[in-house]
Amino acid sequence: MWRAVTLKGLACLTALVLAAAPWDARAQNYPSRPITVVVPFPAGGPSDVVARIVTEQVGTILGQSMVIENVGGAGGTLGSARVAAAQPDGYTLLAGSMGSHVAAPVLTPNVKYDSERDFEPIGFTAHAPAVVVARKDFPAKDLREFVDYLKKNGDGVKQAHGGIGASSHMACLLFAAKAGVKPTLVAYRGTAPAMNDLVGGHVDFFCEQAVSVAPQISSGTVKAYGVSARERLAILPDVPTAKEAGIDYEMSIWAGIFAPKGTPKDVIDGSRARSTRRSTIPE
Amino acid sequence: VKKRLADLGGSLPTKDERTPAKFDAFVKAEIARWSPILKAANIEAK
Repeated sequence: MWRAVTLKGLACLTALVLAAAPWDARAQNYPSRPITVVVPFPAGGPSDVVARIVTEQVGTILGQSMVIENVGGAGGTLGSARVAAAQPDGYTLLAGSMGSHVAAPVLTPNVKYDSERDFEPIGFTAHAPAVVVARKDFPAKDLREFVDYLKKNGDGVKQAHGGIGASSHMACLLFAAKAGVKPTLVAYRGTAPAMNDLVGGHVDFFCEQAVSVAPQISSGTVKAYGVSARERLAILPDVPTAKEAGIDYEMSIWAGIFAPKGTPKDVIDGSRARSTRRSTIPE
Repeated sequence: VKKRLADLGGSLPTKDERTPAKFDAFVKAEIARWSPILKAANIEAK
């Protein structure tokens, strides 16, 4: 019943959007109504936090409200597919990421979009390097010793990740490839339970973006061995880069805004919004 | 915005990197970089 009502609601919404589209096209005013930004992950997660910071700012610049809609599920592919199929009028955008555009199309079965063909990338919003963290009593004093230990102990070392295709999965895949190690992978549903088990000492290590692991690093409940950045991070000044230990491990977990394919070019590059506002909107 | 992202351990890409064309090229490069790694991991997981 609930499902039926929701579907009907969606149908009405679609009809409204369709009805509104010709008006906007004629008026050439953009944005003339609120813009929906679909975040393909649940509220409160890293994708959601970054999307909210960025869209708040963009909304202020555009003089329109930006409405965040969290459409989680299937590794970020449900929300992304919805935007791929939305009216390309600039009023439905996607807060996409490495997960939705790089990982999911390879790892998630039956993905209903093609990341290169079905979207117009608008802009890069954030990138965040990963941190390699281990249980606090891990017997290695630095990243080099850590890698030696992993080489020696092979699949006897347990590496947690937050699910296939999650940023923590990707971050450790690249680390293992660059360091030439093959730990046993233990999948969790999200970063939080993986982190809990790392703190509890049930798994040996984990790789995740700094925002998710910094509190545990500062409180000493986990040990940080290295960051995947060219330079040390301001929030983790004591954690060396992997490069400092001679390991070529460099990556960023990134996020950006995408529009459905076919969205007018002057909407994508911001020139229509600039002429609508008749003011200088920073690029 | 820069400060809030930095507090999260992230950073705002440079103005040049944020243009649609640069972002498009970046996304394509990331897909090319990661696909083999992910495909290999996917096969191993099965």
